[in-house]
Amino acid sequence: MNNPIKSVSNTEKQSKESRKFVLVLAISIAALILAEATLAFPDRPLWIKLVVVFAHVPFTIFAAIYGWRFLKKLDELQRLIHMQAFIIGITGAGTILLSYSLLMSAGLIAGEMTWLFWSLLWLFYSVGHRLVSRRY
Amino acid sequence: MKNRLKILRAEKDWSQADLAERLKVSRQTVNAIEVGKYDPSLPLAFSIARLFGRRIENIFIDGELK
Repeated sequence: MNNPIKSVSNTEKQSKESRKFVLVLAISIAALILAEATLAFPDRPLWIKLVVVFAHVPFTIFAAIYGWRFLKKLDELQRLIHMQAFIIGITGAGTILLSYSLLMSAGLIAGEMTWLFWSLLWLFYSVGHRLVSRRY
Repeated sequence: MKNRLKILRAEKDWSQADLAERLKVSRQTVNAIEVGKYDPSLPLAFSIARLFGRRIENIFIDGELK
């Protein structure tokens, strides 16, 4: 049999990359929530706030480079799956946040929306990716 | 869209992973094309045709054509 296949197939590589991408996304959101929580207290010294803000600069650069390299490695179907998962993520997070903001405007609940947005985006994106992948 | 990819692959005695590696796509993509769940882009369709030494219309069947 004509078989020049290497030990690790494209599918395995891309699944590994997808898992890494979801992990990077989760770490990004955790870092953002942590930063939000740190900056939320007005009595924090200025230097702590500056450290928190500037600590995000290299992280943001890393996330941007990693995201770009990740996209370049995907084949056309994988890109389609991620795009559809992202649409599900944005739609799901947006729909819930709309209701949340209405309740906030009505004074029924109080809270911070940033961490909620990112958490919901991550949740819906992950679920969406799994659902869309199953379709193909 | 229907296609003859599975037959052509079998003729060459390639697995889906073999074909995926040659086309530089994932095995999931090859499987999705074979079962008709995903229609490849024109560049990928040309790559497939080139790999099997056939014309695109010999591999992919236009369902609209009578």
